[in-house]
Amino acid sequence: MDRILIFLLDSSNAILVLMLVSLGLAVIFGLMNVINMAHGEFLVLGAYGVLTLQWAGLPFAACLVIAPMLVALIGLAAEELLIRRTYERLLDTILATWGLSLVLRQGLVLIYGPGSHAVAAPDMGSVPVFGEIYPVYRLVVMALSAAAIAFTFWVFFRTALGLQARAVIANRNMAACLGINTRMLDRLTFAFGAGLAGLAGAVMSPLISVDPNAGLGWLVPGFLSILVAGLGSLSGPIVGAAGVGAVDSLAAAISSPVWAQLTVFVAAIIVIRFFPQGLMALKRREA
Amino acid sequence: MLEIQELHAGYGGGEVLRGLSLGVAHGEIVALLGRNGMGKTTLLRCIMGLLPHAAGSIRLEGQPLSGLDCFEIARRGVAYVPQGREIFGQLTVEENLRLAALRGGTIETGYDLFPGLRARAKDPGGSLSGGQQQQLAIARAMVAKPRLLLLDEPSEGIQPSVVNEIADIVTRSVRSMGLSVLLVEQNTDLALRVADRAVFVDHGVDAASIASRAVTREILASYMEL
Amino acid sequence: MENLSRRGVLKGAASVALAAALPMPAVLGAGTIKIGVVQPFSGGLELFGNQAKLGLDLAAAEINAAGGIGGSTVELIYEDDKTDPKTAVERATSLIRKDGVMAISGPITSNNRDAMMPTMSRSKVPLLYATNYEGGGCDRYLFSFNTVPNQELEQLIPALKENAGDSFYMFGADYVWPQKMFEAAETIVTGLGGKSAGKEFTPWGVKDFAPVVRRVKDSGAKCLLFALPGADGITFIRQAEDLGLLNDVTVGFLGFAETYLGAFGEGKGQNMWVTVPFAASMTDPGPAEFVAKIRKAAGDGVPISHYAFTHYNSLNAVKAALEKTGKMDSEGLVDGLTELNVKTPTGDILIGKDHHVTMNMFLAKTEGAGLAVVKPLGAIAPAPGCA
Ligand SMILES: Nc1ncnc2c1ncn2[C@@H]1O[C@H](COP(=O)(O)OP(=O)(O)OP(=O)(O)O)[C@@H](O)[C@H]1O
Ligand SMILES: [Mg+2]
Repeated sequence: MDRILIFLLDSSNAILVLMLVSLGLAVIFGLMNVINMAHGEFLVLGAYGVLTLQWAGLPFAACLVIAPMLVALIGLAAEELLIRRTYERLLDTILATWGLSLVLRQGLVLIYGPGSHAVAAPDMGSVPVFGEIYPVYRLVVMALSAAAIAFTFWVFFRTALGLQARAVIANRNMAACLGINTRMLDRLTFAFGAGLAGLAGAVMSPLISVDPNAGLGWLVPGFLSILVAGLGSLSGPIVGAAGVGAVDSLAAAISSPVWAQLTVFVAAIIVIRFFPQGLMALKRREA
Repeated sequence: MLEIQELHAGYGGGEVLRGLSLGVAHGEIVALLGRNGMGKTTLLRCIMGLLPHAAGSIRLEGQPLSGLDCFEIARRGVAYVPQGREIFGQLTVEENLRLAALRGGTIETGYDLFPGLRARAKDPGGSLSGGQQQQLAIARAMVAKPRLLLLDEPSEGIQPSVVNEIADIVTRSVRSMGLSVLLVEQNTDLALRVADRAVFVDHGVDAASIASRAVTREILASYMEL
Repeated sequence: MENLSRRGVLKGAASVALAAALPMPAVLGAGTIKIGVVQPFSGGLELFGNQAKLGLDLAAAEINAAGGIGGSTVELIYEDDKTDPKTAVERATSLIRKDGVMAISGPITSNNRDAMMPTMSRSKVPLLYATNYEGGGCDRYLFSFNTVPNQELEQLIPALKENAGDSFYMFGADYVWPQKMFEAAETIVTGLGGKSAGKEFTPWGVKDFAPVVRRVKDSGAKCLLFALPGADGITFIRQAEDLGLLNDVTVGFLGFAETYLGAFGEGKGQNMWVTVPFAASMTDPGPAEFVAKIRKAAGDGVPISHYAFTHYNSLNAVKAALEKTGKMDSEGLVDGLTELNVKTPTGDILIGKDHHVTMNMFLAKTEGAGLAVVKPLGAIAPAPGCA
């Protein structure tokens, strides 16, 4: 029994972070129809942000707060300088954001070198959980991710800003006809999505190798998550990430990471084959 | 109020509006009439800034609207009820109204206009009947406290009895507020009943401007029949 | 003044035109030996490419300062393979055709090496490969200057068994090098009467190793033979440490290099055991001098690993080989390299008939911020698996 609970705890960690990543992707795609290939780099920027702020002598908690905001600012600049010129041309958004990802990665290599860096893990110790000694920081990662997801939903479903964003997602022109500044919302949403990725990178930074290529490992499952669940809604990526993450963790726990990756891909292909609109579309049809 | 001069606009290569001029005075209701595909919707989209115009001018209270974004035009007091209504189907009735009330105005204006909407406040806009959706689209426009209301075929696809009811409510409300209205309508009887004046559009130009009372069967036939 | 400079330009242009028109060997002249270098300087493995460059640059500088090879200076022509096999082949082809190089140093990955080899054999230009790999690269035009699995494992496994326990869990990346490593390891473990507690592989890019860590813990293994190179390896070690695995098992880190140091965080990643042909912390005069020379050229901050060392050796071997045969071409080089003794900072290495090297090896472990040598293991001969 304890083994299962520990497994659930381990998986929740991975799944919650994946949810953050895919939520950011989906927010950006939903509002702007931009497939953000640079999302992984935004995540990595969050980790480097923590690293740099730590070097500057800031306490870890402050780094966790500031780094995602810096990433959001970088997202804002990227949107203004590059992304907005590609709106409504899906292929161009892919190319532009892909180019952006190369630039960001190379920039990191130039500034920080190609090697791995270590973000000093905050010394929070461990607590006994279900008969295992469990690192407290992992519990913090889960709590922060869950809080950020809840915050995102709160923003989108409980604030005027979120209402406008949902209106723009549904019908950009009509939203503008009601006096909504869609450009402003594009900027904010892109920054917000980038910030979510930055947060994911920031909270994970003490648990991973911080290097310029670290983002790729999240981008692929992140995209799978939103493909599996469909792009229609904000809960899509949450459901998708839960599915992808759970299948991955379960298969990895039962057999090995190699089989886990294979299982995830096969499961995703089956889902996409039989529910091309995504699992969430199925639910909507029934509703 | 609204002054349009020598407007040219179109899609891609094809020019749809070919030098159309038109004015709407304060508190005036103008019906824009013409056969299908003559460019009525195109004109409204130009006024809203959804479609750029190639030449000519659009002025609101003497201020040029050219080059402004749609949202800025909306904030200057132009409200649009588009053909096909375009309510937000996934958002609730109340959210639809709240969106319009974000910059001043209250959603109560909308409920007062069509009290039937209040009972459906928490339902998604997409679940309403056609008539109610049209009520919502109009209510949404009125909530924003506009100075100029653009209505594109509000009667399309709605039962005639409901149409008249809606028309009466809107006309009364508009008159009492002194709103200016530009109404596009295929139902000429209805249009002429509520409007002060009719402007006939033919192949992208304003062919005639006639007081509603003076519009005869013959005039109608010449501009409206194929 | 104006006239003069214009004439200078004309002369320059004329000589360029002349050079372009002449056939290759004449342009080459007697004065230079061109060695191509195909290494990753972008695309993910640039750390290793940079290590190779440290060693090669130092060797070239020393050789040229001492009068070159038979009077000719060594010129290194660097190309970035972007860590990509297709690019590696393109760059190799261009180095051979356009630059007429005598040999090519590189690459890092087995993928790139396998991709380049057909071109090398066909062009009869030797590839000087100085990265530890899985073995089995047996070709007249391939020379390996780093270790193959048995050289790393032969002494590491007994040392782990003695110091930590006799059950071994093996975890590595899902490709040929870890697979061959673990095959060799299993033979050695069984031969010593030890137990294999489990073996598994992971694809690249995995970010959550908790399931693997739990499984290794549950297996009760005392030693973890670890063959997951690069950033993923660092991520695993960080999470293994965080989840308490490193208290239970001692890690035998395969393919370790000093480039990893510092990536685990301060005071982390301690007591991981390795066998290496070189460690920057060695205090003997030879290695210490080597380290000092590289530090002088490249700065104090750079990590110096056995990759710098083996690449340094490979270019010195070229000099020794050419001087042995006196034939200044690719075939002369191949003949000269075979069964050649080369002096290195850690003692002589012997290039065998099978083109792999017998080298002095050292047992070491991570300690503090560095790699501490536990004991020298003497020369270990390669078992590259060539018939
Ligand atoms: N998005 C578009 N792209 C290209 N052509 C268009 C577009 N929308 C309309 N048109 C064309 O422009 C012309 C005018 O269309 P418009 O919608 O303005 O006419 P309308 O007078 O509103 O007609 P209806 O009574 O059918 O609503 C038509 O020929 C139509 O085919
Ligand atoms: Mg129309």
